[in-house]
Amino acid sequence: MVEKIISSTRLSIICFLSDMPILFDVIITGIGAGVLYGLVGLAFVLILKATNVVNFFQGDTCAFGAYLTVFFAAQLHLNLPLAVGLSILSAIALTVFLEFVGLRPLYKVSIIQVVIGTVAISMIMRYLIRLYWGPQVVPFPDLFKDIPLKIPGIPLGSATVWMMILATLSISGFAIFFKYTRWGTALRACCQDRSSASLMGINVGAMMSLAWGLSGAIGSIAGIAGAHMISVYPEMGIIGLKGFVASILGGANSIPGALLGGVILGVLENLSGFYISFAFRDLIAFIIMIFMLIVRPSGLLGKPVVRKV
Amino acid sequence: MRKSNKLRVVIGGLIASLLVTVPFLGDFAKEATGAEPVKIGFHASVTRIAVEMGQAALGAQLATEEINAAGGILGRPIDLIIYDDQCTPSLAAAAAHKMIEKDKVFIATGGTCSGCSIAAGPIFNEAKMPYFAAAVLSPVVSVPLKKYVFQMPFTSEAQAPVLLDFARKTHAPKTLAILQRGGAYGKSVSDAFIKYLPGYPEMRLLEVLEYPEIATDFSSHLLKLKALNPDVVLTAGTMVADGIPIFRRAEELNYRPKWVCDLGISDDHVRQAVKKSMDGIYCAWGMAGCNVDTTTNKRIADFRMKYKERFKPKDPMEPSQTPGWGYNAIYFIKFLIEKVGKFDQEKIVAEAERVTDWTGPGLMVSATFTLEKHYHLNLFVKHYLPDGWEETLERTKEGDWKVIDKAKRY
Amino acid sequence: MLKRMSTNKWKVGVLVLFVAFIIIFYPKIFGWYWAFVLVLAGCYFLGALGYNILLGLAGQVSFGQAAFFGIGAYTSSLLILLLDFPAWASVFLGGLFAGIIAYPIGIPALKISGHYLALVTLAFSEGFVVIFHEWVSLTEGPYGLKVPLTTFGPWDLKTEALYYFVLVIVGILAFTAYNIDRSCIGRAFKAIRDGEVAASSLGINLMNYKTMAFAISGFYSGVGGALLALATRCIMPWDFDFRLTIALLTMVVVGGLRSTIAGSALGAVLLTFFPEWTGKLLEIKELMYGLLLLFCFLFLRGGIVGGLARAKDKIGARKQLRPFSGIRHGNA
Repeated sequence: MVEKIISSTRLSIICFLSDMPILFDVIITGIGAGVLYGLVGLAFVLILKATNVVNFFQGDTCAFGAYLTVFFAAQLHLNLPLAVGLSILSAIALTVFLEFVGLRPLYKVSIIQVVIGTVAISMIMRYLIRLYWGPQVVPFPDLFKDIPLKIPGIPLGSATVWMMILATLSISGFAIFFKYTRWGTALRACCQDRSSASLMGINVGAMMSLAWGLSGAIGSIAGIAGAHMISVYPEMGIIGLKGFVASILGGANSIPGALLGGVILGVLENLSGFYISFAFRDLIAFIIMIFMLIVRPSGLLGKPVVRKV
Repeated sequence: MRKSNKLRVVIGGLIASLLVTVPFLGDFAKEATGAEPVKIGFHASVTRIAVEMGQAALGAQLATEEINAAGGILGRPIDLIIYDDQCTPSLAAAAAHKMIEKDKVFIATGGTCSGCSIAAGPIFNEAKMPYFAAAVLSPVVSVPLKKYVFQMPFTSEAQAPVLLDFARKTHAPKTLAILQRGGAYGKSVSDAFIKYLPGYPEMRLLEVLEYPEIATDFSSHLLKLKALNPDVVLTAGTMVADGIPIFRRAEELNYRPKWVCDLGISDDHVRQAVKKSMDGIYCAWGMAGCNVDTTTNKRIADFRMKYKERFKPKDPMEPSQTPGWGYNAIYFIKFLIEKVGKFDQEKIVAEAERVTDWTGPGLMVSATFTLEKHYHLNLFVKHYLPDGWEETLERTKEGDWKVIDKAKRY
Repeated sequence: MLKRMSTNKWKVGVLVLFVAFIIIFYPKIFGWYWAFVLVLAGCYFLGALGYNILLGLAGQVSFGQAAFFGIGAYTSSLLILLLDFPAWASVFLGGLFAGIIAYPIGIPALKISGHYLALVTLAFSEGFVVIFHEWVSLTEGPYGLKVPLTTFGPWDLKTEALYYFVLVIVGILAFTAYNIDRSCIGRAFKAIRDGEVAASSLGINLMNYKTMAFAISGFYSGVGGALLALATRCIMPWDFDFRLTIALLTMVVVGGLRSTIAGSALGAVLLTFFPEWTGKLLEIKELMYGLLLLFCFLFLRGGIVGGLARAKDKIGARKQLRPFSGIRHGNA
């Protein structure tokens, strides 16, 4: 195994030294992939901040968004913007429903318990997806056919570019939302201290549903955008794991952190794969992440939680 | 009670009643038949990973129903028991134990992921149960030689020299690279390429690039390939879910190498999804095309019709290659038992050793048993042409490749 | 009241004897196949026990349990395969090695906690899957490591001999865990779980105990993995990925996080046996599993053990509320 690493490192250092434009390409495509991870991570962080729950069915919400778009566009033959809009709305409805029915009662009792609930919902969602659409890959309509957006010189598809624009818009949107609107401020209050917020007259339950609904929206958008990068099949929920990594790396209580974490993860994966070894790509990326966390234990942009005694 | 509590109780009650009643649904589906059924166990990746391979179980089901409708094997109906191994070797091992000890099947078959058959094989061999792996290509399944384990499709070791021959004939490459999917099957194809490469001294392998089984981004792999710039890129183990993103990304990165692909990519789903990106590619293929009325193709067209009628798949591109392999396996077992004339496991195993060319109603023109006996006749190659056309090539006994089918797929 | 107490003790005693009888004669009563399933449940029980010690006793959030399972499995299998060690020694050494590898994870646990520790341990765990996959010369990578049939004394370790071998080891380790729970190590863990700052101000050396928690947890999971390798005789790298960690986590939580032994045992047995009970319909199995988890989640706070405890309390409370039965079964 060691010889493998040494020989591929030698080869890649030669590549590195001889071809700078490739380095640019590697980083840019890493950012492209990373934005997808970041979007999923964004959905994660929303729930994490508001309810401290690790949402194991986040990836499946993304899958759900992608599948619903296929349903509305390909099976009901609606035009594409309408299909996308409807699937986002349905995803919101689904997450709010799940939260209201299943998860809310147990926030107070045990966070670990909620993990089981989310795992269970993940399994059931995958089953239902497989039941209706079958286990095979499903063809996804080309959403950006009429609105291509390719920047010459940058090796990213139009879907990826649109996704990056979308991600930037969401981050700024969230920043505005949290800082300047009433609901945003109320949600922030709930994140900080739920009981005080309810004493202030904020309807905590509604805020929780809002947080879950937002995460459902972002999740389905991520799924739809991601359907261009990974195929649409029942197990595509695996993207949730990358989203989790991205969100924690960026700081579990930081919304822009999720995007930053995702981008760093994507770039790290690409760089370590390209220059060191593909076989060990994940291992190297993980080692670097562990070091990052040791240096900054609350994630890159996270605020350290001050534990009062 | 608060509203959300009431809702919880209702949902809980629903779940509890489902939990209690559903397990027994399957039992009512069995009817009593006259003669004692012969049990055949079939393990496949029905859920989770590699589910397109798991459709072999459906083909097996179709075969079972047809055979039972025609009177069964030597008068006894088949009881087909399907196990889901989720492409996970430990579950396959558990399924093997179940087949042997709990359900006490007569013959075991199935196997749609190489890793699963590699795990299950020794268990069957030790229990002296005949095991015909239906849809796995890694030669490690039946090697080292195990008396009771047989492998039905052509192995990766059969694919490798064929694809290398093709590469040499059409592209005359000097440098190669291999894009390998993680997992037992990918490794077996990649190892096979490396093993047979010395026979092509003008070709030099630059690098093997691996990606994990469930991968999300291929851009770095494609960029590396672009940087290395091999004359031909060989794929090892690529499946439908990877194939589509790989070709799409390659298109975005403006990278159009000469691909020579192994079995997993030659699926209609991939072709439909990426269309032009696949023009000019050669892929190995296990089931011939079905628009030209040759003997082989009529059988395949028949199978496709029967399958569509029975399962009514929502997806018009189904069935893909794999149901045929499961269908084949059951018919092959029927053939063996009838040849031997009685239900004797040892005799069946001995008979299977002797078979070298079986051209039953199945869709693999010949069957492969053990590494020594495999040969390449049932391995086809697809050549994708522009505008949705594709040719299917078959190798003649003299070793040339001739076109047996040409069709427009989209 | 003395009479009531002794009848209760009688009842418990009879129940324990009954369960012990069933466990000891399990293969004869239910056949080898179900005994095999119980063996698998036992291996997962050890893994869940390790997880419970780490999460439930010491409060350290870890997503890396699968790695220790895998390290134990691979180490012990390699010892048997390459060095011809006897089975019991390999299992023990496998667990020991896993514990040694787990020990240094306690060190970052001092600085990092909660979700971040979860990520670090997850990264660690996935890293090991890559190592198992790539170190082909040692682990045979994707082709899987085949464990040869070993012996313990004069018996071949398969079917019944395997069952009793695993039973004895599980019994010893469960007993040890029970003792750990009640010892000062256990109390230190609980103190750390309930309030790190308070614990350290009481003189509990956080570094020592946190690393010890990881080490013990790693040891238990390692032994569980080693036994699993002996049972299934073929191990592959992705048997030990994140899915295994989730499976162990669900076993721990469904059983009951606060109850170390009984909780892990109930959770492991229930979740290992459940797929076997769901009958013939294959695709439904995942749905059923999910529904079961959902049910446990909605109704069993604190897991099964917690649910039973609450039920017992409720029944006890109701008995006390009825005035006349209060006289008959009254508290003295």
